[in-house]
Amino acid sequence: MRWLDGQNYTLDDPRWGGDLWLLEPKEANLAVVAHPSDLRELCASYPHPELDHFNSLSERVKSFELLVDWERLSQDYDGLHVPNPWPWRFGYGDDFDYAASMFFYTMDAECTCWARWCFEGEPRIASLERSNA
Amino acid sequence: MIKLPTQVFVSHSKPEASKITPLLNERFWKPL
Repeated sequence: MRWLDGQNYTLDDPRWGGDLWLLEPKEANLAVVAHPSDLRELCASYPHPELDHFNSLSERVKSFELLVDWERLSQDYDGLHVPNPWPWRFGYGDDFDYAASMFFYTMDAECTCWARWCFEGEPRIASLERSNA
Repeated sequence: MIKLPTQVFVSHSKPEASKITPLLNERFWKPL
């Protein structure tokens, strides 16, 4: 909610706006990517079926090596949870992981991608009070 | 198993399983 406020997210935009609905998750089987090594483990367990094709496109570009087969992962998990992408967005630490940083760079804050409906109770509408209003 | 805190969903209409589930299956995932 604070991130939406800080970004001046225009919730009245017909393309991506709308009401803020609060959903209560049930216990769920979530794949958690909290560190680049978690992402590499998922890539090893769920390699993308076209990975060889993508890597054959260039000898010098290897960022495709971290593609995950999300469809197959969604059959084993209810979703993907990334608790804190920020430290890994720019290859934090001595062991720079360029490919992993591309994955984390797509997220600005804690993110959960749900593969199926895992919520209970009635959704509630929340209001966003802007700090600069 | 993980119990996450309240999630925020942005939508012009009320999110409901009956509407979301077919959308996820048809647009993103192969039928299980």
